[in-house]
Amino acid sequence: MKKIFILVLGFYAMNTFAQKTIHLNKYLRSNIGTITLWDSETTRIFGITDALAAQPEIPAPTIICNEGDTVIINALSISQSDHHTIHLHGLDVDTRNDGDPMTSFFLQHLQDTTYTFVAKHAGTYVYHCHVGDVVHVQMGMYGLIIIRAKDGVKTAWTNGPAFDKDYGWLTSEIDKSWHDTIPQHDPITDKLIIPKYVPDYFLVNGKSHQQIWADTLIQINATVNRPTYLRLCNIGFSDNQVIFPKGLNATIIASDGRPLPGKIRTDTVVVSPGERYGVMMVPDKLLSDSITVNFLSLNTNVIQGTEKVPVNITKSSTIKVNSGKEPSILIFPNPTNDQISIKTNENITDVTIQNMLGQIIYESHLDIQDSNAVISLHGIKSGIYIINVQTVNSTLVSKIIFQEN
Amino acid sequence: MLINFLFMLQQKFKKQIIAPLAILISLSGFLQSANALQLHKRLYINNGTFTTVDTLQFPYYSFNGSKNYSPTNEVINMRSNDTLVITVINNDTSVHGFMVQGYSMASIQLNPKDSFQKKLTFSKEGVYIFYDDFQYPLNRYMGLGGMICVNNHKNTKNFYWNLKEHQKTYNKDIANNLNVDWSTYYPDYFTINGKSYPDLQNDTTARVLANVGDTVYIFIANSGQSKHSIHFHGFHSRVLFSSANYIQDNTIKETYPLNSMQCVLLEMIPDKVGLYSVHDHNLVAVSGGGKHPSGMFIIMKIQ
Repeated sequence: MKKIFILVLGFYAMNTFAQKTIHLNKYLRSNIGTITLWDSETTRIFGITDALAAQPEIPAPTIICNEGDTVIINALSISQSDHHTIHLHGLDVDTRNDGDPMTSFFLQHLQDTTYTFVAKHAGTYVYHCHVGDVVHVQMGMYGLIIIRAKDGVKTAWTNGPAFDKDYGWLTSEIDKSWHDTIPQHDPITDKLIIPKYVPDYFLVNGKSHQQIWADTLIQINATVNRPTYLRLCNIGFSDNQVIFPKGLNATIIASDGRPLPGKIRTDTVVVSPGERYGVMMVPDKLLSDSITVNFLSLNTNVIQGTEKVPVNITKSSTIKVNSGKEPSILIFPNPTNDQISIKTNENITDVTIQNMLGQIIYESHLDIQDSNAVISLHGIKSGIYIINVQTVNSTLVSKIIFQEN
Repeated sequence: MLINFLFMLQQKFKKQIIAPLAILISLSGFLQSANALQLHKRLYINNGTFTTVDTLQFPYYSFNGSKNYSPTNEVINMRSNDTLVITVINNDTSVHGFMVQGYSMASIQLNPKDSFQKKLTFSKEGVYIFYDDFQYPLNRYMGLGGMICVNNHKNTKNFYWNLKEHQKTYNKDIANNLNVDWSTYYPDYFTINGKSYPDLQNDTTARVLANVGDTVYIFIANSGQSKHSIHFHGFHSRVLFSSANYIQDNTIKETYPLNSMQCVLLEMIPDKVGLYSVHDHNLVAVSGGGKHPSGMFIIMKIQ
């Protein structure tokens, strides 16, 4: 009897541990918020923050939980005049928790509520404001939701394929004219008047161009023959054509929070507005390349913008990316007006220098079995560049500044 | 042939069970064949005007079941292996064509007042777009695209969404035989079955009204020019048929991107009551004449 009791207690404890209730605070803000774009322009945004004192950012903080968890979001609107909600996109919640003002309720300034969901299926989802959604989403009120497999196991879904690490890319665009003059209500029809949408900034997790190259949470750093899982989610108003370089061996295995009935091996995935895809990558060789994200008009299929995200595949997992702390690879002088020297404690294999548009202006697969290299920058225009130094076991991605004499 | 084969088996193995089995299978095949229907459908190519949610008007065409113009294209329902005898009558004053997406048939040109008859049979449940392929894509863009819905199940609740979008100046230019530049296409009206929200709520063929546990079939065709990414609140659905990229049969999703001329048939079994929106997640398409909300937005009611 005692044994049975202990067994039951143990089972109960395991269950309690496995399925937890997570309480989150979300502040819905449209009265403050500014971001700096890749070209140093700043623009007005709305946002969803975790703390009252926090400044809105694009995207909003990612919600992460495990399958089986119950998530309770305490939402407070601080918006002066705008109304807000949180729509739990793809989580199949009931009308009360759906955050759609057309079927449920919205929050006025200083009103609060709770939104609850049970994380039934491991996968990738998104939350966003659904009030005047065309404007409030454009203004930045969105974030990822990642439901991990039961107990947080590193698999794409419970008992699904395993991965070493995963990345979440939430893609979107900005039409700066909408941010400069935020579309307003027509008082007669009680509808939003929306201008023509012509996006001029294209974002991966709120970043573009060199901002991406400096963000170690976006760029893919992985190991040969080890699976890396990429979660793609498009919350913009354009198609995303995601093109993987050869050698990554990309396979689509999931979409919209469910496994696909059959895997799709491809080098290109098109993610449409509101969709999510899970892509497993098992690189079979060393790579220092980039994944291309084209943003295409849904009306003309014309590419409106392109972003490139660096991919570094190394032999081991000892990837060292420049964080400003005791680098094992030194690049000097920086800034420079002539040449740069690279000094490492391993043999250098590849060096690539790209401009801020992602164009390669210098590339060398070095035969030298040396831990030192000198690269002349003569002929290059003044500006900021991204250097990618690959050694036998490490990769360094860093900014260098070149100033012509 | 099957009976002969089974008879041979019976002779060889002397199994008494083979003969009754042969009769059963043979009878089943006979009944299936006997149940296959021949359906007759007339389609009139009509010329009219489209009235937007904000009461603007522009030229439009439609495939209708009579000579009376309506901006809503016909939906033809049939079962697989039924024979559809379709008669297309050009009720307009200009030349038109007729084609069925994915169906092996020769292109047809119909002069004014001409008619054309064709027998069609589909082996697979799904959605197939019939359209005007003359001066493609102009006549199809101007409205001439309808749906053939193949469904073998009797106890399903069926709804039909024919997606289109319109740039009013393009309709006027095409009607006046002027060139349009598709590389600068920017539609300003978005419709399902020729209607936008809130008018769409009154379309009983489009608005899902069902009970918890019902098997709901939603036939969706994009006969417009743009891509539309249709997102469901509240429910994932199972794909029974798809001509869309990456969307395989039996995929379970809640957002369905459809390129021009792509279709899906979805099976949704609601598990909770309430009101749930469905809309294009290109949120610009949830507008009409530059005002939001309107366009491709509809609210399902589950009770």
